[in-house]
Amino acid sequence: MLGKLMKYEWKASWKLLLPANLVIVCLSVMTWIANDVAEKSLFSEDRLDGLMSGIFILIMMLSYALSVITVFLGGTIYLIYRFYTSTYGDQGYLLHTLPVDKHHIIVAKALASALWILVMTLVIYMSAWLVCGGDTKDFFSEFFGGHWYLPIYVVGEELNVFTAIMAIVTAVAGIFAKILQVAASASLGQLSANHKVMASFGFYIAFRALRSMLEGMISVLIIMFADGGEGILNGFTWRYTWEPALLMNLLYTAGFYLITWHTMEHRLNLD
Amino acid sequence: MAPIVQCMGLTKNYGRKTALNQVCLNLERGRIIGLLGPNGSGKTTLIKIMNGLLQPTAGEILIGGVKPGVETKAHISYLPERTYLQPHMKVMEIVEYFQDFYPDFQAERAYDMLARLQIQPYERLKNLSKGTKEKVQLILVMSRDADLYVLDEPIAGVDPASRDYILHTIVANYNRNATILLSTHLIADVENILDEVVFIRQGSILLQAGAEQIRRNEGKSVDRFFREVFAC
Repeated sequence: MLGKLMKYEWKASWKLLLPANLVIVCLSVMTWIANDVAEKSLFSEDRLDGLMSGIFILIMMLSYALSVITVFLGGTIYLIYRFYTSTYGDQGYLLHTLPVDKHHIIVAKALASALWILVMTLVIYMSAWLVCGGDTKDFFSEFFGGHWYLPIYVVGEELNVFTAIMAIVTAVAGIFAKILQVAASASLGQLSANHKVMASFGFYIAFRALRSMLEGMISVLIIMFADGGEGILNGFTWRYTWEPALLMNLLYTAGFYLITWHTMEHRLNLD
Repeated sequence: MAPIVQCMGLTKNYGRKTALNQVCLNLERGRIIGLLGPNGSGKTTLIKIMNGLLQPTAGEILIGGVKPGVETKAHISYLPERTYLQPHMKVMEIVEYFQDFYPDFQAERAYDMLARLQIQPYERLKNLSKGTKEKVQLILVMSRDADLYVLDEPIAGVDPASRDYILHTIVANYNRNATILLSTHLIADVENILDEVVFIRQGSILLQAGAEQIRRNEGKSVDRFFREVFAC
């Protein structure tokens, strides 16, 4: 049944999210071509021509950035909206009367959403690389060779295969934690007699605050005790290690999953 | 064999409001039963609890001797009082959806009924009228070989001509060993097909009796009797 649920989750979402991703690809190619053309006259002897080219590049970059943000936010909001309406809206009447285990419902929805977020993230990352002047001739070697490790350089970790794998696993676990946080919030929100959407939003904010407090406390503990108590002197914070982040994301995922499952199985309230 | 539905002291509260109050009810197999009551009497709440969409505050409900869950959902064919299908889907995609999830779904029967009503399988649900959407839902529900059909207000939103078709569809297509529980307040339209009636008022069962027994004992139709019992 999990496969069938996945099939219908995918069918319901691809018609909107695939074109959205194609829009990002088209925009990045257009911006890249336009910038390439404009750059040639940017340093021309004619100052006005150079100024106009600069303004043009700026406008293209700004509209590109705005469009990408809009598409990513829009896609994410659509996934949340689809989760809510198909689970706790009118369509939930069909979903919850199917002879299907609740675990399968949650896993199918989480996997489909995570897949789309991963696709959107990858498409945006590749498109940003292209717009920022990536060389198309050496696309694969450059993209998978150098840029892939960029986030690891940013946080200051030593570059090796282990940290790269840890970074990817932590990011994926983080995506699942976020998705299930939304699912748990919606599940608790539907218990409310009135204003279910508002209640769901309230639970999301509460979970966010709880996570911030917990992460803050763990950061302090790591700073205090890392490197035999010398961590604070070495500027060692938890953000510079992947293990606590991964562990926290796995714990969040498990916790939010349990809340969602328990509510669906024992407290469903489609009144 | 256990009754298809057993309610034991079933209670459901919404905050301070009691929707179902200590309901004790047994529904036998192979009957067409009318769940009759005015608006807000608790009919839909009882039906939702049968389908696992709501949890009782107290008491217990068993479907074929089992608590509502994955197993019971495979045996109940439920028509809610609202449209629960995704509007962007085509009728044929919805048929495929039911075929994928319900092993007892008969696609041929569904297409046959769709053809009789001249509903095109490639039509998207969002392009259909409200009444046609309701007919599509009823066709899907009645195309299953279920043990219990639970129909919540199946004729409330349709014109009188369509009501006849819907009632004919229900009677002509249900599994003869199954039970149909039909919730409505339009008694006159359904009276002729009912074997048994359950009157419900303010969350309590007022009466459970055979339709013929009421007509014989009271000397009036079920509809007339209902109007007297529930007179304001």
